[in-house]
Amino acid sequence: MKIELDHVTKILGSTAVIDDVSLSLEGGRVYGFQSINGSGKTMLMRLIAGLIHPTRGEVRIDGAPLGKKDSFPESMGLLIESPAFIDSYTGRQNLELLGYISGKARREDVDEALDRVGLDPEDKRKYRKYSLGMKQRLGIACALMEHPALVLLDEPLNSLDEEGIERVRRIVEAERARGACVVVSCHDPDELMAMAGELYRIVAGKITRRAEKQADGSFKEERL
Amino acid sequence: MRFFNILRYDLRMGFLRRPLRWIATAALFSLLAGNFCLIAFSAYYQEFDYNPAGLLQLGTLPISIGDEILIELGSVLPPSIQEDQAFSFPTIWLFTHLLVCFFTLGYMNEDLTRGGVQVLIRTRRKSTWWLAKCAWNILVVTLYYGLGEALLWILGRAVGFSGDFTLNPFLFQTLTNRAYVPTGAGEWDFFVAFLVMPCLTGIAINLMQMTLTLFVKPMVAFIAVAIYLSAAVFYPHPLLLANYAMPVRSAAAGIYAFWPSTGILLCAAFSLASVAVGAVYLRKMDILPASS
Amino acid sequence: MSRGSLTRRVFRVELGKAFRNPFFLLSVLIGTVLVAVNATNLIRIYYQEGGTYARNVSIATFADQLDGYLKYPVLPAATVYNQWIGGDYSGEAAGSIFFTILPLLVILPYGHSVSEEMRSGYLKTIIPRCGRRRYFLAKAGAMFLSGGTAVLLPMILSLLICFMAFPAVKVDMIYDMYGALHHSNMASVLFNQHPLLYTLMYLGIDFVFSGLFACMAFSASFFWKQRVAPMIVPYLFLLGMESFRSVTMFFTSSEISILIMLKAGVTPLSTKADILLLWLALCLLLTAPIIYWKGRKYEIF
Repeated sequence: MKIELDHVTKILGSTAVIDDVSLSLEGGRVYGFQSINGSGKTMLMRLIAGLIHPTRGEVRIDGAPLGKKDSFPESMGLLIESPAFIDSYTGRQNLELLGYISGKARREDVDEALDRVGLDPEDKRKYRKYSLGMKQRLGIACALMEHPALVLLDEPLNSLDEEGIERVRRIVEAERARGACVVVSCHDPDELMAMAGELYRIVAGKITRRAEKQADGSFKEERL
Repeated sequence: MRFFNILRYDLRMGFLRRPLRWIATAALFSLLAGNFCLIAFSAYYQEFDYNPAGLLQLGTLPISIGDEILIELGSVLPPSIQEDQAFSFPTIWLFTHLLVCFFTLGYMNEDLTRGGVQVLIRTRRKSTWWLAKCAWNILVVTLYYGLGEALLWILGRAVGFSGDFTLNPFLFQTLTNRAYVPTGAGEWDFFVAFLVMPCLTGIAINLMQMTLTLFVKPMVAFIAVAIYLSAAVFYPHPLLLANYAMPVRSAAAGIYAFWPSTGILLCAAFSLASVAVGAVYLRKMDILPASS
Repeated sequence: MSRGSLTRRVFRVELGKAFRNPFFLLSVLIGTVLVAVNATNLIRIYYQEGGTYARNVSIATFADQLDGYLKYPVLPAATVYNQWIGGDYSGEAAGSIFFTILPLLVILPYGHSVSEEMRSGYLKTIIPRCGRRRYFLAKAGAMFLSGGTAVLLPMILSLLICFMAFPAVKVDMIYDMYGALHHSNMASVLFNQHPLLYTLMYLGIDFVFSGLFACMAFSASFFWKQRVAPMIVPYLFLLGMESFRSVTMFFTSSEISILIMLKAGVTPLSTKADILLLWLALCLLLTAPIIYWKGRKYEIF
């Protein structure tokens, strides 16, 4: 899968929350968006996901403009802001319901995704009883269960303990190895540098720096 | 295929998991049936020698399901033509139509702004999602009126009323203060005017309400619908669709001339317009959290 | 810092949120539009009929009626007290719609606030700072005042407009066919002898009941978790209770519908003080104890 953002600008009210951003993202790589709060990384993810439309410019998925024929990328897993599920269902029931809608995830896929994030597929607790960390894990499992070509994870490490953070690192690497295009946003630079192969720094809706991971693990920075 | 998956999801979340609403619907229409029995009994009180036991003999009276529908769900004539008759706002009529508007009110909006985003992105096209929501809306409204009218019919027959739509002139006069003049309308005409039109009108109004919630808060949309329904009570204008949901104003009843054929066309037009406006707006709409 | 000042500050914040929000303005605007349409219709009919009673009749029959009224000048005049939106008995459209949707107009300004704050988690932020009881009391007070005011303002506007258009004379008791309040109605003597006091009394009654209707949305928020349901269910309850009129009419000549009893003028059945007090008790029962007991034990997850 190839995602291209071509001079994309998004204006909300009178503020340009994304300002003339151009990007090219490909499968088999992990991209990191790093910025302080309110700089626009979540908005950028929303643009890539098709949840919002650019005011100017275009988002293309495999060459086709997003929002013309299809509103959303065909194969996408998404975790944006706080995950929200049905309170009276268990984690597995929630994921099975969503997998049923897309037709791309069977029970085995759901159980595998739950296992990967460290949740028990047989857990009978309803979602309303989940801790914050469990809710976050379920949100990540939801993004992975259909083995999507594009994985968007906005602040996936929120509320996770050490073990959870380690799991997410392994998951991101496994998805990259599978050939997915993984986009991760995080405000912790060390974690992001550990996971991503290419970093973008966003300031006030603009991409100001790009850094590519070298063979020795360091990053070669480029101002934009 | 995804359309039916989404529709099944909507039916489960917005219908099957809310049994209280259907119990409330059944209770409402059962109460309406009971209320009609009291009204009929009161109108014929003298014939029963003022004996409350006459309630058990209601089935012997020349009363039909048509009378039941007309009295309970018929609404009233506009005050402008009600000469020398104190105007009484048709609260029961308004309540039955607003109840289903309440049932369909917040569901789509909740879905869009909370967990439904995960459902939305799996449909790939917003139009698929929107059409599924419209189909859900139509199904819920149809089931509501179907259940209610079926209950009225069953309970009316259980009491002993005849199952046709032959109107009782005495009861007709009680409601309208006018003599009943048969119009020659057949059973099918009455069926359409009394049973089908309220449902079709309800579908059009509920679709309009759902589309409106894309632009304004659900509470504001509900108030707009309440005003729209109430305005129809006073103004017998064809563009106030609720007039077609008032059996007393149908051409079959013989006082006014709200023809079902015109009503069906208008309801279809309003419904299609609502679906189209919603689809076009949704295409351009940004999906942001409720707090945004 | 004294507890009194904290209570006052919490209350002030809630009042600010209740009155300085676009839904309060929208509610007042809807009420104002209905009042304006109502006043326009009645003033137009009044001046066309030469100053006698307004009837909601079509233009075609005006000529007949005018002829009749001109022949019989002893017919009583329309007055402020039976032409303003609360006193009008003619069944004019906008006035009828105003009272039919009154519970929605009073809930709209601030009725959403409790359920929104429960869902958003805002309660976690505010309650540790001021305590449950203080917070819920302030919230209920703000809801009561904003709901009552949202309806009171259009009604006062209606009165002011009518004072400019109609004579402020007492309603004729001897020759009045339509506008006289029967002696079986509560405060009928006050209406006939001091109609202004009667009207002001009714403004007070409407304000109190409107405030209580708004607080019903608060009570409903403890039972319905959806966003919209707590705001609509109280209205459906009141509308449903009004539907029972058709049954109780067989047994009593007293009005039982609170939405109709809130009208100051002539109603189809007599308005009785004891039934009004029963409604007051019911509204208080559906608000105060529920808010108190549920709020006291409310757990914030």
